Amino acid sequence: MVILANQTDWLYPFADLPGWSLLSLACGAIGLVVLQEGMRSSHFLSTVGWLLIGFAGAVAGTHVRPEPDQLLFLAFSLTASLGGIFFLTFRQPVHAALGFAQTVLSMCGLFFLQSAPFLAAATMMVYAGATIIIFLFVLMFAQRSVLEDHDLKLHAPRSAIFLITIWLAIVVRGIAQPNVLPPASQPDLRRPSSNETLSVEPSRMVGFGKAMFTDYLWTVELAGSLLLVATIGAVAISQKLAREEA
Amino acid sequence: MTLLTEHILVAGAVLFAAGMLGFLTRRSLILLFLSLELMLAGVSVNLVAFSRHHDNYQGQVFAILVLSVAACEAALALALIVALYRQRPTLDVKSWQSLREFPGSEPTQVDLDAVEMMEMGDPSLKLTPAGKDPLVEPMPERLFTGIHDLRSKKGASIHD
Repeated sequence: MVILANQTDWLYPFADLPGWSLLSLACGAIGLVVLQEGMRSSHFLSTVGWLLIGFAGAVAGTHVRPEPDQLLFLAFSLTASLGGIFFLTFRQPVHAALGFAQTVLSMCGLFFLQSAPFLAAATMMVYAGATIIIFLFVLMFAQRSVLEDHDLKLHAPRSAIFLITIWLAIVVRGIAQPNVLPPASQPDLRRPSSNETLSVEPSRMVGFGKAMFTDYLWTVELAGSLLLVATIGAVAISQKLAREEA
Repeated sequence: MTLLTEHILVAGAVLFAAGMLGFLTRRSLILLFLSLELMLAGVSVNLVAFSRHHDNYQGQVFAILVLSVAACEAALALALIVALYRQRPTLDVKSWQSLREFPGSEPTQVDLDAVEMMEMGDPSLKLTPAGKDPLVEPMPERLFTGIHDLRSKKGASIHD
């Protein structure tokens, strides 16, 4: 490991990651493979998969000493990851969608921690509310009561998990490099609200509203036009099909 | 050590990886679209983290834009799924794989008028003709079902 640790040498992408994190990542990936298979076939395999994932979490947990202000972050990340595992492994589509909802709600907790309360509320409404409701509507429309072949079988799960584990290791290594983040940017004084900062406690939402409707007014208008066009498009698609059916 | 931006970035990367994994492995059309939403959610986490890192609202406004794009995508994708379901009553994404171009497909029929117009330099015709006309020659029902068939096909060509 020491010999390979060269900052510029991308031939050895995992050289800087500590061994326990690689062990944890590999155990988690293997556990996910076993769990995905076990959810379809046997309880024994899925128990082994959960044990492997739990072992991966324990390996990571023995090396992380969380400070009190990181506990909430760790809790939300843990529930988000659990929801992701549910989403990936449950074969019944409704259960998978509930895993997705759990992930999104935990993500809203992360938004609160990052002092973005408006965004957290909006995400809760749009993702966990509207998206899940539309999803359940389409599922009611199209899903048979018996699980079909395409629900049970996954498409090349082992190679996909292998590739994405490597991807994740490379990304985490890139993030863990020292001084990888740029320094905080200076406010651009030509814009009216660019010196609004997140730190002023009572006027949080005021600052966000000012930034949205002065500096980024065109962005908001663009988002609104996009929503309008998408609404017209969705209506057009369904109307055309209804006429063809008649 | 307090909560650093890097920690949030790792959480966002994990969410993005889960979405990507779902997109690669799942076969139900609706779950594919939910995987896309999960990837967008991971990107939003990153944007909010950078908003706090730079201590301004730029990232949060961008996250609002991503959120509205996700809402548009939900409406349009589900309308399209319903349209596809009316054509062929299944949610399996593999039932639509005849829409792609498969490896080794050469055009069997070339629109000679189009070629002539292209040679004369009509600027509206830039695309080379590709694929097969399904009306002229129907596609095989199951060309190959996965990487195993692809591998066996390659092996056969080597040994031949």
